[in-house]
Amino acid sequence: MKKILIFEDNSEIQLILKLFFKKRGCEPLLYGDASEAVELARAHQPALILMDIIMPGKDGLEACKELRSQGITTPIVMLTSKAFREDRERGMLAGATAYILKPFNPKDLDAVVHPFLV
Amino acid sequence: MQSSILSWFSVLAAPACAQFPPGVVLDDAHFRSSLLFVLYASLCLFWIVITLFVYMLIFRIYHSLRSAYREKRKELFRQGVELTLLEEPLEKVMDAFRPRRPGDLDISQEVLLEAACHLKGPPFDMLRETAYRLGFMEENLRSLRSRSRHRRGRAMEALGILRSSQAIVSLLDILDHEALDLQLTALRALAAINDPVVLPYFMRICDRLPPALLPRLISLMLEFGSAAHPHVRELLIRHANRFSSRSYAEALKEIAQGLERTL
Repeated sequence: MKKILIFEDNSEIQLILKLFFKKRGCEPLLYGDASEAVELARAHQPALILMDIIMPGKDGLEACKELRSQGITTPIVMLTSKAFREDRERGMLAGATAYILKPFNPKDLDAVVHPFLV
Repeated sequence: MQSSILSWFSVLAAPACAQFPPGVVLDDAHFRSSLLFVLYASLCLFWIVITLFVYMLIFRIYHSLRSAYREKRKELFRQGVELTLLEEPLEKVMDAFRPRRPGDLDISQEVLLEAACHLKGPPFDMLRETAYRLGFMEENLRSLRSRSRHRRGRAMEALGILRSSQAIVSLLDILDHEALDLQLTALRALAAINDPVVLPYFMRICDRLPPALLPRLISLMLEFGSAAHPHVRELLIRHANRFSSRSYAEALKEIAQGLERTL
């Protein structure tokens, strides 16, 4: 079963993502902040990381940069309500693989994450 | 024993004695009345503090019990979100969200709204249909006329999240009578419903809004997409003198971001 690391502080989105990945036969691991993202990524060896940008403590961009600087190459999908090109570019520069805007259609999320789960 | 009690009383009465200038000798009657005053005042204060403390304690216990109960009930209704995401039939989703006890309607609706505001596409449509069929829309429309401003505000938000086009007339109707914060909530709800027919009302309300809120109004108008552009242009021209240089810059930033969203 493929593990998915999810860093998201909103409990409702956590629930939606948990159900989304369970339905696709994955094991979602949910965390409310990304302060230990590197350690968790090393410990679980996930197939995919989903990361919210705005979180308490370490934000998603910072955590993404840290993961990449530590040599973790797992695909990272940013999940955020920031809709502007500038923010998307900042996410990509930090090392994100793809971007999904909130609110999201599960079908759009599926289209983004599917290549990483097969 | 009696003398030791009296000595304690005299300690308590010390502040009362301090009101007399030095050299004034108090007779027994004066001393006793001051002593009694201090004694009663101290007792009153003591009981006020105890009562407040007990009240706060009861209040906190009530709130923690209430939130624990609500959380437990929310868990139950979250099955509805699960069924929505599993693309189960509408009847099953409705059954999961159907209120079972008094007070459930509020909790069920809260769970539904929390999920709806993060979703788009078919899951959102299913949640909206569920809300409609379970009577949440009518309940919120009724709540718009509630005496509680908190309830009215929540109803506006709910109708906005559910993009209830039936609410447009009611929301426009209350725009003129509400306080500024609720006017903004109603405008946010109208922007979420996203029917450009309301744009002239946005133009009308900008005469009443404080200049500092004009950039926020522009940002809400831009949620309507290209239909809002002529109105925004008109607003900028007509109210140019009401913008400070800072708020004008903010408004231009909102326009740039709105255009980016449209593109």
